[in-house]
Amino acid sequence: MYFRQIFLLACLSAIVASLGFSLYQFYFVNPLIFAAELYEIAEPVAIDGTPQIETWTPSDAIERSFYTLLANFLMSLAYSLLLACAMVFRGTSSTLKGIAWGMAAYLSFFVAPGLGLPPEIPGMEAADLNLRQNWWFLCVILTAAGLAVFAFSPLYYKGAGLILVILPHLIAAPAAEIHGFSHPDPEAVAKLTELWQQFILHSSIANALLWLIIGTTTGFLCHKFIDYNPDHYNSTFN
Amino acid sequence: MNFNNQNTLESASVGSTKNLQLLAAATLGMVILFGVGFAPMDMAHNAAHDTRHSVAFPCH
Repeated sequence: MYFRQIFLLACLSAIVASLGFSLYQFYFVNPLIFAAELYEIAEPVAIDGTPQIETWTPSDAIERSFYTLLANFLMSLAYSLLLACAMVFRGTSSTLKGIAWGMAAYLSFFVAPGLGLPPEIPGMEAADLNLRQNWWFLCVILTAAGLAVFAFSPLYYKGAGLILVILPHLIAAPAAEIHGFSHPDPEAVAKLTELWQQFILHSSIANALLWLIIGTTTGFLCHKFIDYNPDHYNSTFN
Repeated sequence: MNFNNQNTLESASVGSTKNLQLLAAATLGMVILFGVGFAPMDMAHNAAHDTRHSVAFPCH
């Protein structure tokens, strides 16, 4: 019953990780997003008279926080599921191994794509969304594969891992035509740039914290509930 | 000898079930990740907006 156990332990890990991440986010990251939104220029309204369809958005601060919490939990659950699967596929787990896996995942999911596509605050100019998402996926997959080759292959092949890690940056992330902010007021641009620098710092810390908690808890729980599970032991060896 | 063979077969089938279950769990993880971080619908974007920015998913 690997699936059920991995799902349950990923839920437990996600509850703890999303609580830690959300606390940091609510105090240090969200205020920067809200401050940047004040400078966001409204989208031009269609002038041909077609009625604008209002899409749903959270109506107030409490509702918005609730959906952010929910999204944080689901994202932590997804990350924890992926990490637990990789760890169990690879072999036995422990808290220490979990931390190492978590840090490798932090490099793959945050640091490497962040080098090409730095974390953004609202109001920034950016390249086409689809292109950026495709590059993000490519970068995450190649970095994770590269780190895996680097960690687990014989010495002779470790260079291949390094090539995989560098490859997405040679392909280069899609860049915006205008770099930075298109706000007409230079004072606002200076303020937004300052907010952006703080945002990069705090989102890096928040994500390191997220992966540290996911790695530690997933490693510990996999060790406790999968490595020494009598069901698995009996079904494999009896 | 027979017993040993049977044992090997059983552990092989358990091994492949294990990998199948791991694949299923990882697929579920990827589907959730796509829904939270990348689904293009405006509703999904607006609900998960702050999360998408905080984890540096490409947004807007």
